[in-house]
Amino acid sequence: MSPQPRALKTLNILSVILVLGAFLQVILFTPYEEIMGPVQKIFYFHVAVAWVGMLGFIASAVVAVIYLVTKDLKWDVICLAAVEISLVFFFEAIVLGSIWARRAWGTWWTWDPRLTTAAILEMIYLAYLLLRQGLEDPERRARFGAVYTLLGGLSVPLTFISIRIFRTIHPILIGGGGTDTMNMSNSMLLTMFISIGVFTLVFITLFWHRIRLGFLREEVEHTKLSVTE
Amino acid sequence: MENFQLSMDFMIGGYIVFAVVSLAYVASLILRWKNSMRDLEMFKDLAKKESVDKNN
Repeated sequence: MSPQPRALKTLNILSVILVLGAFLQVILFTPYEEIMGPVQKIFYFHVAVAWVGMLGFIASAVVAVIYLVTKDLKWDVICLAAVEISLVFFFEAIVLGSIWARRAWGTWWTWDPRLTTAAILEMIYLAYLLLRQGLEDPERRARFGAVYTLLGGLSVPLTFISIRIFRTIHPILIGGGGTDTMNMSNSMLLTMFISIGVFTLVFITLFWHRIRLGFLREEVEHTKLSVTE
Repeated sequence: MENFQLSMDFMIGGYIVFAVVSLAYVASLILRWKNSMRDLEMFKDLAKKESVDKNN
């Protein structure tokens, strides 16, 4: 396996610096929200990781289509990478949201439409990882994975719009217009967009690493087969 | 004041959980990479030995 390309090394360093920068921006340069106080600052990373989580799930659905068209197994490796990273980010979004909810709503969890659809989304893709393990044949596994992630991708827009189509206590960030819409100052909005940008970059970095790991494991499998045959 | 401190504790707790989960995932990527490299080297060595044995 070739060593890390220079661009990836640069992304590694940039990601670390920018995450620390975004954290400092949240802690030091963003004002406290009047009612909730410091706990509201969880929200910036919560939104950012939820965004990249959904981005990854959508990316996996797009990659799944490419696999179904080309039948090239490398797309299965890429699809798995997108799902795995998104699962981690989306898990973080759920946990951060839960901690915020404990202070804001007085409970760690409630079966609100947004929380419920988010939990279902996470479980759909967790099941994807588990079900893949049960299939030995790489082509069958890839075909199953592609169809599954394509169908699973339908739950992403449902989770996103759940706060708009159902009655919910979850705040609406953009385009709500009603009383549920969060009132944020310009510096709060700036911090939110900085966090989203930073975590998009972190996602790209981790995605690249995970794809490399996937290809390395493929190489290990091929070498192993050549020895055992 | 007490409310503010509690709110601050939740914020710190949230970011600690976030850091732990993120670092654990990055560590898992590094570990899996190292293990895969080790396996690759091992199988390559085995393949080499096998071809030498066949030639002999």
